[in-house]
Amino acid sequence: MKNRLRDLRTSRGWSQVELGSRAGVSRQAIIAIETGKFDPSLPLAFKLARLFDLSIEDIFDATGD
Amino acid sequence: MSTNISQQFRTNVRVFYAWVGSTILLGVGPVVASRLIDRETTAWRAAGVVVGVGATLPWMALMATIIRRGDEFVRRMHLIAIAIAAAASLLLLVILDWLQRAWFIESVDLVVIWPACLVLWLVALIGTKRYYERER
Repeated sequence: MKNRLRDLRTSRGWSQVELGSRAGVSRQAIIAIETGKFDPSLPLAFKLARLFDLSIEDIFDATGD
Repeated sequence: MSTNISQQFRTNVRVFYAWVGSTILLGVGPVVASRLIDRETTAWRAAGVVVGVGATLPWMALMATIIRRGDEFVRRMHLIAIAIAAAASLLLLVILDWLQRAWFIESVDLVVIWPACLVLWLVALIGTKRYYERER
């Protein structure tokens, strides 16, 4: 699943560690989500969306699957 | 947030010490057990079995704890690595079985097989980690 997580994160000036800390997951999890190799669970997707004040659809694009 | 980081650091240090301790036990246990099972009496040999098996349990329990405490991605990564390792271990056993049946090799000692399974798990874990960290 494609996503804009890396763009959103860098636009806020957050490192992968910082975003992981805010979302309560590891840096590895953020890397895997950003590279599109790991699709987060619904609770984590909601958490990430709330961190950026966006909806899940604004971050993740399932149409590419 | 600094309190959380400090707590996380302390937890990581504790896990590291537990890992070092259990790994030492994993290495020393079989050596002690080997000496015990060479003795004549059943009681000593039984003690050797208990020590040999018991030395692996803290390490296994620690690994289970690390996986359980991990986030959803860490658990996924370990699940995939364990699945790959299980398949590879099964394949290894099947290959050895047929090589043995076809008289290409002598019977293989179990002392070779279980460390080989451990190595397969480690390789699977490292491979899975690298796959997820690599850019497409």
